[in-house]
Amino acid sequence: MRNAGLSDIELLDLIKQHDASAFRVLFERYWEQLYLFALKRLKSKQDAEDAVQHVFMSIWDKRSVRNIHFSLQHYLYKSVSYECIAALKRMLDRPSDIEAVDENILPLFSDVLENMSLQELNQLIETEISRLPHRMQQIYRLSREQDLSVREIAVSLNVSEQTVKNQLTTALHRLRKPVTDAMLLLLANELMIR
Amino acid sequence: MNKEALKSIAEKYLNGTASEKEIKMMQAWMLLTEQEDASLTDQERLSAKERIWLMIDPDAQDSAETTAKPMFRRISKRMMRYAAAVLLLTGLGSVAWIYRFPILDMVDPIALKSMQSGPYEIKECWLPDSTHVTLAAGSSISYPEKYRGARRFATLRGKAFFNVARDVAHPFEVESHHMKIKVLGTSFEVDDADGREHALVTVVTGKVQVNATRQQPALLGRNQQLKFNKKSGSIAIDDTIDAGSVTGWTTKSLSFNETPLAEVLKAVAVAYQLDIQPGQQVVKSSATFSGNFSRSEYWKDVLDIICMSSDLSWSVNRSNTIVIKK
Repeated sequence: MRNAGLSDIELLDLIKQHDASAFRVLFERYWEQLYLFALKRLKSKQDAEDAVQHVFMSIWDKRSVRNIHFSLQHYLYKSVSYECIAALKRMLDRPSDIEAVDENILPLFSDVLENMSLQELNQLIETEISRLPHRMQQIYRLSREQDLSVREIAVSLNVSEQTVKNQLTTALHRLRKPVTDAMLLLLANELMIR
Repeated sequence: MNKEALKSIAEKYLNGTASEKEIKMMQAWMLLTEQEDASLTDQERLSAKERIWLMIDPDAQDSAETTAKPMFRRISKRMMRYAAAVLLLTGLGSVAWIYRFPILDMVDPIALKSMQSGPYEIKECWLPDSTHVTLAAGSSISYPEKYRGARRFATLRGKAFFNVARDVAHPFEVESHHMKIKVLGTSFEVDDADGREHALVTVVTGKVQVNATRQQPALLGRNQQLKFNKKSGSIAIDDTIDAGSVTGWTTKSLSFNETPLAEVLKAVAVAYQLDIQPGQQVVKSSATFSGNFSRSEYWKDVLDIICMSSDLSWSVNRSNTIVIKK
């Protein structure tokens, strides 16, 4: 297949120029891992398929506005996670799926997670992350670092939100090379909102 | 925890109002389920991949003849800023930006519109994306007054023919009582009327994905019909359908199927704005009529056909009332 040897970033650049064959290559590269990810969580093929469709649709759909400079894999896992939670909500809304949710998903929440304290949950998450394959560990850790919002940064640095925003914008103008992926994501986010 | 509580946590997570503990619970769910077994046979892999790709393929060749310009992209700049401000305040970060439409739906919901056809009346309507819908008698459809975000959808009660405006980035979904149908840009009929043994989907052009209750999704192409048995829950696909004749009713505006004659005359009176007086003893209660009339048919011809088939005749009296006679 044409474009098959290109990197994720190169493919994304082509996709931004409406290149459907690059989109196909990207799909071939990632659909299965994302599908298995969703299937493990939702235990429903239909809903897992929907979740993957929505992830890819958002890439094609937003190709002209989005700047995925950071790790594409991280982006994909983050959005498929979000889609899984959106699918869970839809499943809880559909009477025909209630039994499946009862059997496959609810017990973990009602028997285990609900009864844990925040600290225990944090420990559990830490342990589970360390059991993941190395690559996925990175994705999860990166994702947590990025979850710091402007407001949280402001609180932790004890400055106003506006100051943080100003500094981020100035930094983006000054920097040619990103410091870290996480930093760049924050900056890109700032720019998109503008 | 019960289902309602779980749903509420999921909702809060999605709109960015979940507490730290709730967020952690969702993360833990993601992590703990990583070790689950989810192996697929080659066949399952292939068909899942085909179904997913079909819905997102930007080059999908099968398309309806009519291509309409999408209207849903016109979201005002002000609205975007509003969304951005909400996101900043909630501190959701970039992924929330990607999901600004679900969030927008929450802070600024789009009103639903609906349309209903009379018991013998066939109605047409256009959805906000220029999709054309022909609503069969005794059916109704509801849809948002504009489309926003990744999905286009409509909810159908009864039977309708859809000519979906092509837009590969935004699949179109129709939900009926027993089925969910997903397409990119095609024309097809959904017949999920109450009181029938089967729910049907018939494809005229393009490709359609049908999810019938508790069934694997099925892919249908041109001249194929899916038959869902409401009682047994089984599906059958017929490849030898003449979709054109199945959907012939869509060019009509009145449709009768063994309808009592008195009802037929009432419907004709309403449709053509006539004053019709059926004589007391003339129209027997057992008399029925079956047939369809198109929009362009002249009311005199329509009355002739109905009367002739029941061995009756009609005339116009001095006060412009139509009298039905033996």
